[in-house]
Amino acid sequence: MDLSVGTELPPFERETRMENWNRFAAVMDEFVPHHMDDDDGKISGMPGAFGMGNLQTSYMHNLIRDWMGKSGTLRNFTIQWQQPNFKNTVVTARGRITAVEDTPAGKEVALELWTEDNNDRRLANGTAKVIFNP
Amino acid sequence: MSEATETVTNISDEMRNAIGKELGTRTSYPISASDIRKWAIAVYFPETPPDRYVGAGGPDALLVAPHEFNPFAWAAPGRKPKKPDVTAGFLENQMGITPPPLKTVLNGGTIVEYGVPMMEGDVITATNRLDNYFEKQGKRGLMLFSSMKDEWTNQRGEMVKRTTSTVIRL
Repeated sequence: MDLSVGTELPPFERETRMENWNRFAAVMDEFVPHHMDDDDGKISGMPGAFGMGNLQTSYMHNLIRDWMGKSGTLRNFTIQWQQPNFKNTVVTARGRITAVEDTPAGKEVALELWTEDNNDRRLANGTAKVIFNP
Repeated sequence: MSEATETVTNISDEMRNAIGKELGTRTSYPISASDIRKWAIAVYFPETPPDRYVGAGGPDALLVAPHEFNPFAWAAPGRKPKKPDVTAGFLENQMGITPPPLKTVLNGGTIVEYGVPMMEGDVITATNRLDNYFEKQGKRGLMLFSSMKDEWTNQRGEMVKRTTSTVIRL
């Protein structure tokens, strides 16, 4: 695995619509009307129903897990939501290595993370640190 | 001369005195293999989740939960379902103090520190505290930042995760 600064993680991509949001609402108990119904989304000032911020969190975690495999341990994670995830858009979680440091616990890799849609809208920004055992 | 007066602060003495106060403790039901499978299926949909989340390794292998798994969704022992408080005063209402006179709530982000993973059979206890209030001047006026710290431990007292969540009110 290339752990050099600037290396990009293989992206995690999903088409997003009610099929994804209903499943996530079912496990998170997040049946908030503006996530479930276009009319309620419009009441919230959006073009229609929109996805859960917590699902963006999961997509970023999926990105990290798929990349680090069993050799890495996720130590910390941050997220700041920027814009809502609209229906029928493709969401891609991306990341790149910003720093690498040798520590007593192993190689600590710092990541910059973000999710974006296919209309070049940034949905969320994040960071993470992963330890790779020596 | 303008007669408008600028708000100096929305942090009352009552709010300042509440910093560090415990907002609540909750304990989960034991995490089931089914809970983990369903979570993983939902967040990886429509692809198949990795084997470690769906028990493909064998019936005797304990499943590990995805990092962001929520064992408190839907129900926790001793907690009656209630309508969530979605008002801008939700935080102070929880503590029984007077909320600031603000109407808009924005999510300011989340910081998570991870400890040991959550496993099938684990019982998670969470303690939530008011961490801090602070203010910044923004384009739309004075913004009130409120941070809460939520610490999760398992049945062995091991730290599972510490989450700091911030809401912005204006």
